[in-house]
Amino acid sequence: MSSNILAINNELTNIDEPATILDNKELNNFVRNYQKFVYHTALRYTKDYDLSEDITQEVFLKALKNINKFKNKSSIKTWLYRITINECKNQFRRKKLFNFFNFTSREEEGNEIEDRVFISNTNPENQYLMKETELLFLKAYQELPEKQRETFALRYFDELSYEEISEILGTSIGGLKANYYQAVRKIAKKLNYEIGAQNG
Amino acid sequence: MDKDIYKKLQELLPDYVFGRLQNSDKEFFELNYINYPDLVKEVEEIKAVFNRFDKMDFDNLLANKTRNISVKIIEKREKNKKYNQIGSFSYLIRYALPVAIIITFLIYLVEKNNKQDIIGSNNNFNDNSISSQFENDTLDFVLQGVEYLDLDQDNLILTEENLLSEYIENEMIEIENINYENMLFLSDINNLSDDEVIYLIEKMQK
Repeated sequence: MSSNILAINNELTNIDEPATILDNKELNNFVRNYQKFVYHTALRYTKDYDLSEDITQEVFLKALKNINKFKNKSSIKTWLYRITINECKNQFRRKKLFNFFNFTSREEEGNEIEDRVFISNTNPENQYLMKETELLFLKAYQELPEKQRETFALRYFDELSYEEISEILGTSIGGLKANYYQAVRKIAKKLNYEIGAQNG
Repeated sequence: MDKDIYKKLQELLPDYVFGRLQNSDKEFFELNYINYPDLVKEVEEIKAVFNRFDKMDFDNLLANKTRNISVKIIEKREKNKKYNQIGSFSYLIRYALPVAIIITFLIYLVEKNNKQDIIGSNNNFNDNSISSQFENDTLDFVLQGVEYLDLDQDNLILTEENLLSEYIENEMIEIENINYENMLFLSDINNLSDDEVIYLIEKMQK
């Protein structure tokens, strides 16, 4: 019996069959459509590239295992977002327990993204300038309150609609728009101040 | 200043700067925001900052970091399928076997405690097994004595049994005698006067 998976606008609908009978091509398409979204969500929480990759894999494996339970009450992205957040929390709990028995200092781990997030192909002078801007941007972005940060990330990076973000975060659309405006404004002000201070 | 329009312009501002407004909203914004100098200034500030980096760079980074994820997921899924096929067996190894080992060990401990040492392989002694160390030592002594005396092997068992009984009986009598003497001694002490006790203690200390 063939699966009833239809890809319409990159959404999965009419899932009647368990994911075990998904062939690799269908699975590949499904993962490729949402992997950046899941990875970015995990990266925002964990601030760790490798851990985010592991979490992304676990999220998709869990999603595929439970895909027949997906009732189309929410969008796929909302569903994946929730799985991702839960998996991040699970990882943190495991990590906490592991560190407790290994007496690892949390200061050694670090909680900030020190690495470059953006890759640029421009000339070296611009590369240097952009690197500084990227770091300043990251710093300003991480200093945002959680709701503003999440709204900004989902709207600016993941390009979700306000309706989708509202479903994910449980915030009204009007509230999201206000959060987004405030986030963008704060980042711009912070960067302009920092860049102005550097230039003297 | 119309508060509603101002609020709507604020909500549209980020998407206008990032070029994500629909045409109707874009026209509305461009028509009205110029009436609010603070909004005009904000648009310029935001453009100045966000034009310094390209969101495509971040998209490329994400694409780079996730390019092999689908392959890894397929591989993991295949592994999990194989694992599930031997799932019941691994369940047995993981849970049932350790439990069985623990139960076996507990049974062994219980059996060990319940074992009674039986002296002599031919069971010629009476049915009451002798297990105390004192009695084992006594028997060793008796057996040594039998060997020393070079007694007749046929009569060995009967002789050992009689010797043991007689030895134990003598020991018990002696213990009773000692206790009786101690009792008498204690009774005598109780009847002594204080001076007589002091005299006794001084004498003992000398």
